[in-house]
Amino acid sequence: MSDTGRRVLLTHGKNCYYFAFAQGRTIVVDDQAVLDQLQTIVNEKTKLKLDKLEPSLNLETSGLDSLARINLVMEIEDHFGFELTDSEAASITTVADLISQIKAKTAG
Amino acid sequence: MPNDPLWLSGSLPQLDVSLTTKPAHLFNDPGASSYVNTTGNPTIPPASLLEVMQDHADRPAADLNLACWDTTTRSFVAVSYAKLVRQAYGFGQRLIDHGLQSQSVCMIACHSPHSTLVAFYGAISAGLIPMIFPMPKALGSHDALTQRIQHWSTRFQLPTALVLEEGLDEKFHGDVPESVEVLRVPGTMDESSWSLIDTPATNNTPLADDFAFFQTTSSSTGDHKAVAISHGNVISNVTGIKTAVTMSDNERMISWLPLFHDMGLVGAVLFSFCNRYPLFLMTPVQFVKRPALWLKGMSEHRCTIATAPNFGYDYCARLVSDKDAAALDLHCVKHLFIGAEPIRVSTIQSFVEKFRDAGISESKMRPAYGLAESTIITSISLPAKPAKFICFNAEAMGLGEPVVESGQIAYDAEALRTAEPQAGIVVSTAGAPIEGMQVDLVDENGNSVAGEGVAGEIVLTGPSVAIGYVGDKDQLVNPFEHGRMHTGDMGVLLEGELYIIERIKNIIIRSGENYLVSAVEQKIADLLGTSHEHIAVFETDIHDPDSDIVVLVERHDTLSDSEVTNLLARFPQEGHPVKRLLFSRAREIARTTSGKKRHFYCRNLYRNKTLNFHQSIEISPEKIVSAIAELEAQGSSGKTEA
Repeated sequence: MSDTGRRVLLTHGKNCYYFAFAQGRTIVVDDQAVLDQLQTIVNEKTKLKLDKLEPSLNLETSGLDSLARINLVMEIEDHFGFELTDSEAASITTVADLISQIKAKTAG
Repeated sequence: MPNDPLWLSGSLPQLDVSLTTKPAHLFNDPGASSYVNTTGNPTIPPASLLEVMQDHADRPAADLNLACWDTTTRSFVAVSYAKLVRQAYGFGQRLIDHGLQSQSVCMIACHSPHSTLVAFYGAISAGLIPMIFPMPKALGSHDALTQRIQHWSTRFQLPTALVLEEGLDEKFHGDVPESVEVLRVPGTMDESSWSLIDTPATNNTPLADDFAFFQTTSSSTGDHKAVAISHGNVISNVTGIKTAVTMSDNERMISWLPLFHDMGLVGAVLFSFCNRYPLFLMTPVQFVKRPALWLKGMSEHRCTIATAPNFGYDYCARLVSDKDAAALDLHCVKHLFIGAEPIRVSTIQSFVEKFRDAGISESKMRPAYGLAESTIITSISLPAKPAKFICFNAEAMGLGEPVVESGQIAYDAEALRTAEPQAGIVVSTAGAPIEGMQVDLVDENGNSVAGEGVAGEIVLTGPSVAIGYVGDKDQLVNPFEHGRMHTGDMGVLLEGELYIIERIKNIIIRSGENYLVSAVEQKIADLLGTSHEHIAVFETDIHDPDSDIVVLVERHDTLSDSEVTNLLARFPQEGHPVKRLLFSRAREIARTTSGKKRHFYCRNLYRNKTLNFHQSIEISPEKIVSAIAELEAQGSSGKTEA
């Protein structure tokens, strides 16, 4: 059965996410959904323990060193199923940039 | 005493290395003579990087490629050196068409290694002086790059070029002075993106003493310093490395080191290019993400040479899976260079053990010492002489003073495996100086030390010593006085080999980043509202890359818990690797008679537990975040109450 074009509500714990599926790939369509997942990744995979991940957060000045930031990129790549080039990863400064990049990479 | 201590002291006869004809091992010409040592009149080496480029264009070889790792296709994508040179000539023509003149500086800001090298060689072909900048890292800001561009854009008399990878424009809009000629290049190896020309755009024929490129030093904070490297420096160094370890004409190299760094640019790229070796190139980010790729590339492409700092080998030992390790065949590997930062017993032991079944052994590890100011390599451990670590008594260490040796650990499986933790410092050999390089050890007054076993500051002379530091409009380059380069490193010679035992210059190296101590001290001084004169920043152990970076602050008071929270909340979260603040009484910072801070004596006091302080505050991202949260909670609580 093709799942193209479906839009579904997924729940994980207390969080609800909207996803769409196209060509067998997961497309994230909801900024808040991405933000929530990023929050989980940041809290589980980095030393940062943030109550709320703000889109305006500057990732370079967040307290993560350059190695930790590359590790965060890897976790995000593994989670969302894509790989960023060096220039794509370097073009991201804030959490908002990161959300835009994730949406762009997972679209189509 | 060494067998041949010619390079030990300035008072002894010096080797005079000159190039009488093209070096045979550089051009594979059986009729040509090699570098020769002579005490007669030196001749100017005729070889330049442009001659090497022309040689590649004239004598293309099918398997002589630069191959770059492509994230999208997950494979190495190759371009022949001959085509790379023709692309560079094409780019050189663009520079000329934009009105740029010979001796203009060409700043290069590209993520793509291929684009970087087309611009680099293109600038050389047009007579310009290339200068590669460090690029923003993953999830990082572009501030440092912007500052570098702004700094160097106004530095020179001649118009300056800036080569910018497409897509970066928006990050610098308005930040590049109008006087700078900006050229955009694609970040792709797609052949249709690059124009090809068969010959250089100008009749530029650089001599050995001419500038080849400016090497930025990688200091992360506030230090816009660059070294002027000549064509002769490069040729001398890359041939010196090849000769020292008796390499064949058929080696193959792989590297992930950054191209803005001397170890990546000279130690891998120019070394391979000049010696006609294929090079498989990854980026540091690609390596950090998947270190197994480096070793898989080595295995699958039958590479014989690789180079990395201690961090790289340690990282592979820790993070490459046993399954990936079992699939490797590294019997082809002959030389694994290791340098740029202190070498640890545990790294050699764990790396070799992990990949021993694949074909790695201790005898393939080649510890080396080098710095941008000596083009790259100064000394290197020779295959014929087994490498070893020596343990020194840290308390008995000073310029002009004999070192006290407390033990040795050979580079062999049993010795490394059974090595006991040492009370002093454990230092790997850095090998013997390469051909033509002279190492002089001097005391605090600049006098040569008495001989073997006496510590001194390492002073270098020889054909690999750079021309000098890049200056400004008034003087493009400030040459090293009498061609002597004071390294700021303390070393000792034992059995003809160099051991680096202390860092006198005030630079801290962490995870490949160089931090200028004075800049970190100023940052902390600004935070505390005091003078930088009352602050000393130092590593607690320069031989341990994980050791704490400590800030010793001369202030008599002790902060309360709430004051500590307040301080942590305001603590800068970038531009420093600080792990601990220590408050001491006045005059605790060790100083010279003229009042200069002696950071390495502070380190000795700390290590010997004789440093007096009355408060110690740990600095970490968690503590900072927690302090900020605590203050915010107090703020919101206050609002609620109000």
